[in-house]
This record gives sequence, C-alpha cells and structure tokens, in this order.
Amino acid sequence: MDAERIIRASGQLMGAIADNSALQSVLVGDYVDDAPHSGSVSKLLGEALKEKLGSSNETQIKKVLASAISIAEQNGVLPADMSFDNSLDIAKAVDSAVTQVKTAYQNGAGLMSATDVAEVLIDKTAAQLAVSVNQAFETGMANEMIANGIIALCAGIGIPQAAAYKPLIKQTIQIIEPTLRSVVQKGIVHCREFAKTALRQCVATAKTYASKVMTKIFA
Amino acid sequence: MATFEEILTSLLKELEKNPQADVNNLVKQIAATLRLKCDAGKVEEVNGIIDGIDSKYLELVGQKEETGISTQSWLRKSILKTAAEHNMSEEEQTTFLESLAENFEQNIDDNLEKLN
Repeated sequence: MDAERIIRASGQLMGAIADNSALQSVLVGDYVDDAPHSGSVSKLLGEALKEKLGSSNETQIKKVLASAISIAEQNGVLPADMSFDNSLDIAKAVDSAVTQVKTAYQNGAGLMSATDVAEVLIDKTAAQLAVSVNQAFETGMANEMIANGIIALCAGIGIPQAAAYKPLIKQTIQIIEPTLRSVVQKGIVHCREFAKTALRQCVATAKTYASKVMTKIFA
Repeated sequence: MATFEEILTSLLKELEKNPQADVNNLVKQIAATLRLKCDAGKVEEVNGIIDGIDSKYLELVGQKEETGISTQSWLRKSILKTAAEHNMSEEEQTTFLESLAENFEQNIDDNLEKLN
C-alpha cells in the first residue's frame, strides 16, 4: 500500500473535519439571541450538560431526540426545517447538536477551554465518520455504492449537513433549564469567537476552500 | 395528530421518571398513547447508531489517554480496518481514503451553499 498517499489523504481528511467543526461552532451562534423558551424543559439534560462527554444521561437524551425525529418523520409531522436522508443522518445530526450545546455549557461554566472544546468536536466527528463507514458496509449500502463508484460511497457517508443540524441546536437549547441556558449562551459566544479565529488560520494555510468559507461567512 | 414538540415532550417526561429506561420501549409506549405509527425497527436502528457513535468516541478518547495515539492515526486505522474487513484490496483502500478526503472538502462547500 502507498503509505505516503494514505498519510496525505488522512491529513486532508482531518483538515476538513477540523474546518467543518469550526464552521459549525460559528453557525451555532445564530441562536444566541433568538432562542425562545418553549416552557418544556429537561432536568436530565441539565444533569447531562455537567457530566463528562459520552455519559449515560447524554446518550439517553440523544436517543430520545433521535427517536422523536424518527417517529415524527414516520407520521409526517417533522418540522419543515428538519430534513434527513436516513437514520444515520438523524443520529449524526443529533449527536453533533447535543455535543455542541454540552461543550458550550462546559466552556461557559469554566469547566473546559475553547481549545478542549475544539478537540472534542473534532474527536466526535471522527467517531461519527468511523461509524458511518462501518454502517455503509454493514447495511450493504457500500456494495451498491461501490458498484456506482467510490465517489458515490463517500458522498453518502459525509459529515453532518449544517442545514439539518441548525434546527436541532435550537431545539436542544429550548429544552435546557433557563438557569443553565445563560451559561450555554456564554459558552456559545466564546467558542464562536475561537472558531472564527481557527477559520482565519485556515486561510493562512492557503487551503483551496478556506477562502470560500471566509468570504461567505464574513462578507 | 401529535406534533413533533408533543412527541418530544412526552418522551422526555417518561425518561425523567426513569432515566435508565430502554428508550426503544418508551417510544413504543408513547406512540401507542399518542396513536402514532411506529416502525420499531427504524427507531432501534437510529438508537443503535447513537450507541455506536458514543462507543467509538469513548474508544478514541480511551486510546488517546492510554497510548497517546492521535485522532488522525486512530481514524485512519479505523477506516482502513473496516475497509479491509469487507475485502477491499489495498489499492482500493488507498483510493477510498483519498476519495473520502476530497469529498469532505466538498461537503464544507455544500454546507455553505445550503446556508446561503
């Protein structure tokens, strides 16, 4: 196997994952000021925010969110701004949304630095990708896609689409207890500024797509 | 017909009563109460993927602490191992990883296009 090609490709992959994580942190900031209070809050989510990443309470909350989306979709009552291609898409979006909110809380509460938050988001995306690749092969989706070309397979296991992920961030923020929400929002603002800096550094590395990111976000 | 908000609220309320409950069973129960269609297989599938992501994340963090492996190395090994287990040739594995990297870069552009 061509080790040099593998290392170059995995480096590209990590660069794209890191940039996407930074981009998503910037996008979360859209909801700092306009997240309305629905009145329906989860104390369990409040507890999960304070725990280590990957705690059992966090997993349970994510399953409830993902299940609610699945059932709503099956019954044709999923909000128009939420759209998913399949179960993998739902799971990745829910995982990303809850992780963003949880890390924002931990940053706002002084439990985690912005650098640590960035590392968690990148590691989470890496875990999602590992599962996506496995899922594609396990379900036989990979065989079908390979027949149509490896490019098609890769397109099917990409990182979460921001358009579907944004409404989920809003939904997750809505079910946090009001006393904790201000801490989350403080963390969101801080992490967003950190992510902007990270994106600016991407431009310095002269990656081909980074200039497009900067132009569209900060124009 | 119950709305998405009502489905979510009902599920959250049940979970608050028993935080360690099997979510798949809670969903069946709530769907029956709200008279909603429920394909248990689909719900189990999405929850299985959530478990898979959390399990992989904890595996990654654990290996970083124990062996000092980088995220990049862990991911590369994980993807290539899966591809090899499914009988991809070594040449195909290399092409697969390269293609994946290119597609991820494209994915960022796609995300931005959808937002604008």
